[in-house]
Amino acid sequence: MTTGTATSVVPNRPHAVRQSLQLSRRAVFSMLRQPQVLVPSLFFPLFFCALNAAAFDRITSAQPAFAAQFDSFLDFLLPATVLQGVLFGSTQAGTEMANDIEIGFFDRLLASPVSRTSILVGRLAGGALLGAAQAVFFTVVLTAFGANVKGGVGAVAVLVVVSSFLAVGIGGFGVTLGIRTGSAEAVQGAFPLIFVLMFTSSAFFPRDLMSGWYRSVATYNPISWILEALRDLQTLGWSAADALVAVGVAAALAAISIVVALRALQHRLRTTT
Amino acid sequence: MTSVDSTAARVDLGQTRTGSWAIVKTMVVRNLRGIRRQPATFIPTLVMPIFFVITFSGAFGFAGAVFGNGNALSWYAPMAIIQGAAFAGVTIGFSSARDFETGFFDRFLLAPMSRLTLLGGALAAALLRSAFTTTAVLVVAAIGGVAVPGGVLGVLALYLSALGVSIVAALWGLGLVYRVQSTNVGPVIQVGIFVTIFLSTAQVPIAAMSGWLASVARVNPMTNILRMARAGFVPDQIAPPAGFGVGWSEMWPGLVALGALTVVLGAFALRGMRRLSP
Repeated sequence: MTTGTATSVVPNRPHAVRQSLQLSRRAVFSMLRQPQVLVPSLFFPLFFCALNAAAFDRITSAQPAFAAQFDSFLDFLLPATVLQGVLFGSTQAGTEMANDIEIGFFDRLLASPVSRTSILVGRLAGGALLGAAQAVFFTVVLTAFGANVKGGVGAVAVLVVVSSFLAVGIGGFGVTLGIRTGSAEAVQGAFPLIFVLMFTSSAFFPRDLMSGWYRSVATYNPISWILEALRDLQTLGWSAADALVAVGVAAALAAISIVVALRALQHRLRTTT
Repeated sequence: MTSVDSTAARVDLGQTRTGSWAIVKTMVVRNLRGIRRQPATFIPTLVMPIFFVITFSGAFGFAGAVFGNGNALSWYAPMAIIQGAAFAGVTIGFSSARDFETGFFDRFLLAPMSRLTLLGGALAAALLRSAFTTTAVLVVAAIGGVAVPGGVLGVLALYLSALGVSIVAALWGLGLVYRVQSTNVGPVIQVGIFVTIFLSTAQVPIAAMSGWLASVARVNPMTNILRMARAGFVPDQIAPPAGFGVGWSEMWPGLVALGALTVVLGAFALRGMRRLSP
């Protein structure tokens, strides 16, 4: 009898992996149910790509250093378009986390026998899946419009993996902000920082053609490191070293971001429970 | 005694020119106080143009010859100023949307004052905000070394363009807000402005464009407004005046574009406003 009571009291905890999967499924569905949130992260990168390809193709093609590597400005823009979409979309993870806190769902999760780490992993894994899907979508669309991927399937695979890691990396910082502030508005208010991160990298402008302090800032921006490795893979052909740089930097960003987000979660658990 | 009281009331409620001016002034002051209370709503309209000046001129310094005078900053500073002015205008739409959501706008509608005065107050606030952002970006560009060979007339043409764009943007934003009455319309307002500016000669001259963009930019009224804004900064690429200066040929297409947009979007905003009921 005693044993039976104990069995009924002790919750039947599913494995943390299964919990994470369930929560990431919820994260993906919540994004799919809000097309108004998803559409800008698909529309704006394509709009900027079409605009910049038409605006800057002639100017950049006249530069020998640029023309030596890229057939067109569209080629140059492919990785940047993918990363732009991923960066814009990944802030949604933070907004959703803040929304969960605002509506009280986060507290219900804490009251349930769910692993604390799964709450975080589930949210970020949903973002990673979206990032991978965006990478495939943008690559297909831009290839249809004439962009070349000389690195083949391997280069596309690296692009997809990097996109997932970057979605986790940027999403993790958004989640940290969401956990710290509990305000979706505060997370959305941090959106311009993503814009600054992109514009101060070599995302839209070739670093070889920059000069002065602007070039220095772009040189030390990790987004430039990722983009340039991806561009080399895409336009010069497969290279394990480039793949390692792109995946390594993105994975390092993701790891740092997860640590920071976990600390924010632990801090919240200490102060609110 | 009664007639004296009612006259005083009429003046206060904006039925006379003095009363209307007092209401416009009060609305402008209220709007400016909103900046102090919620700086987050205004700071991006100031920071983003400065950021654009720095990044675009830093990135395209190598292509100075394309812009006509060897200096990318002279090309991008007026563009950033026009963008700042447009966003200063649309923030008026955002603050009106918040007034709808909080119910404050209903109080305006219940007050026995002319609705034109209400619109006038919002536009006056847009003008003041854009004058501030224009001056701030111009100062940053001057520190960065922008040259204005067109002199005072060139700066005046720039201010005229910026103020005109802020009015046009405010009318666009208000027209939508009067219909939707919610801050949810914010992205639509922003996308409309953003797309109009970027599908023009905002980034590069038409001669440097390729494909579809050149065709769109040619018929986009923003191209003529930017041409007027840049009159004192870069030599005109369509009809360069004799010597360097601000030529009438660079000015009138921009003035026509601003006038036409003001009339069309003014009618759009007024129709939206007339349908409103408290």
